[in-house]
Amino acid sequence: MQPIITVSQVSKCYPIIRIREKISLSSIIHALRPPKQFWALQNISFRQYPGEVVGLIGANGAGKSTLLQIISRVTKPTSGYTQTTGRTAALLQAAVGFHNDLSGRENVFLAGALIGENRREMEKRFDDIVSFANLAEYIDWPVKRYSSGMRLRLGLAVALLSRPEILIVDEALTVGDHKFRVQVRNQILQLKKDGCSMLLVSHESALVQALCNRVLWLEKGYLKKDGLPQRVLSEYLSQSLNLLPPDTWQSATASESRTVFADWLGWRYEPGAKQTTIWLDIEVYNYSLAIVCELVINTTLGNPLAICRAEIPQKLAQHGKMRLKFELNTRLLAGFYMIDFRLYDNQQLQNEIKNAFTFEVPSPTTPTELNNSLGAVVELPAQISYHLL
Amino acid sequence: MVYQNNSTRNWWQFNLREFWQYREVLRLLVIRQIQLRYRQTLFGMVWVFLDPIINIGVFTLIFGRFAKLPSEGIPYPLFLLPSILIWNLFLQTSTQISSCLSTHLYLASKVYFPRLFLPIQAIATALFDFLTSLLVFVPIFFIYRDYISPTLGLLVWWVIYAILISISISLWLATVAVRFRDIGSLLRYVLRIMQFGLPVIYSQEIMPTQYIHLLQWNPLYWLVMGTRSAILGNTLNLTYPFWLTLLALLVSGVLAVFWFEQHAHTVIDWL
Repeated sequence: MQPIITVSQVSKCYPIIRIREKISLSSIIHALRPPKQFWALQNISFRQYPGEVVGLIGANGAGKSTLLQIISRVTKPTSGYTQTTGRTAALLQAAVGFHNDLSGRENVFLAGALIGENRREMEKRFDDIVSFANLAEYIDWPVKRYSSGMRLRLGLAVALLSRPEILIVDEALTVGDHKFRVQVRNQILQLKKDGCSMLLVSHESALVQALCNRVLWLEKGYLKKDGLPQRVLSEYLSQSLNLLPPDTWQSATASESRTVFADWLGWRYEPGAKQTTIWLDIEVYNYSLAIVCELVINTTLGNPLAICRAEIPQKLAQHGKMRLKFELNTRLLAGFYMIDFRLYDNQQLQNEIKNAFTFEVPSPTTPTELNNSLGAVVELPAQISYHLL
Repeated sequence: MVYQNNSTRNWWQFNLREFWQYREVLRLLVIRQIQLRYRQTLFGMVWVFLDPIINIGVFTLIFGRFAKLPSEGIPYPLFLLPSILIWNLFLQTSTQISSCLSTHLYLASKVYFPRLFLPIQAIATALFDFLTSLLVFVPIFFIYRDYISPTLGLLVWWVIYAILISISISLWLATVAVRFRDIGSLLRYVLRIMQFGLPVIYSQEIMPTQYIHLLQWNPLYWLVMGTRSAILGNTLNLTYPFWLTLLALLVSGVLAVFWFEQHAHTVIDWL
């Protein structure tokens, strides 16, 4: 099969232009001299095949946006070449090339022409685009009056609804209000079903995991990893979020461990598809009332998802070391989770370890298990009863 | 359709097929640019006609009536019209070509399209203005129809010549102007000085002959004199400096197109 995107040994070098505050003869001479260089991309090669949805991850400044710019031909590579086969819609730097003084309507047609859609086809799709962006009342306003959200909505609507064969999106999938995000997600899933190839940059690992068939990890301009989403993401997150290997004992460092009544000693966790177990060691002294231990489970974006709390009654607690075992019976779906520990004494927060560790719940191995393509995080047990009407 | 983004593409290779594919973009760019200039204005499209009338009216009043500049026995408004119209065409094409990239960075930094569309758009809108101005002055040409020369058709050549000069100067500047923002104002100063240093609003009769010999090395001199002679029929000797500079313009113009095509795609790296 012919690749739809070919990237062959692409390197990109940028001139670094320093801005000087003082104006002097030397600054003029300096402006004319060849500037210093910065290599944003080094020898990147990969092929993307039709229908593949590829996620591009990496820290800020890793070269993700530069790579997208080169693939969408906004700038040229310093060496190497890229080749795309098909109409490409690109949303770079979370923005679209809209002209401020033109109305939304005019910009839609210009953007459509830039994607390569002909006028008649655009006229057919125009109403859909406007209603998708939910901008019917404002479509004849000049775009400069739009809020940044409205602009992005219109840009995404054009890109998603103008039947691109290749869709390139740079961190724009998470714009807009909630309703719009749902729309975008559904439209992307529809495009994916229709066989549109996509290249997405997102810092939202849950989204990448749910949408992509393949993930590329860029680091400092190099292609570090190329593979299945789960594998590449877990390695990437383990580096950036300090994901520790499961089942090893972690000691708390002194600075985070001391409270007025207890010390953290360490923890251990054991992830599983059905159940996640976390052990926690503390040393208790000077306690007066009941001790409350709390685990906060966060998504990788830092949104708290659930709290599990356990109280050690006063009569049970003893001075000295003790090991607590938390068994999380609610099934967490495949993905990454970050844990915060908190310790309360007499209803007062005494100690908190933020992002103590990140763990991964592996994706289902058997086909009978739920395919988590929605990006849901927990599966709640429920009982269903019914009666005939 | 296969699109390549290749670092090693040769500078003489043009993708003309792509121009055709993207023709809708060019069409929209030109139409929008013309529409935009009259948007959010009090008089709207009336400016198309108002602008040349005010322009010529002021010059006629000040230089024709008050200063009484010599006009070789031709009524001053008629004498002024050909040269000022072609000068305005040249002024507009050259300033707009030189700024075409920097004013369209909102597009150029976000999407791909053949970058040569930008100077083409600048030329097209300037031509639109030129033609509407011509239309405005049809009554004046009609009033003075006895003075009009049958060589009127040569005007087409001088329009092409004006565009050629603009391309061969400004297209070089277009890519540079993105990096150095003062290029545009420099160009405007030079052109402003030239407007008064050349026999645009007056006859060359008042100039010393030595100076005219020198001026003949300036293609703009030929532009002004040529247009005037095409419409009014005064004699014009195309001396050898004209042919030499024409050759230089052609070479420079062609090279500028290649230079632009080669460099316009990486210009956003300099932002």
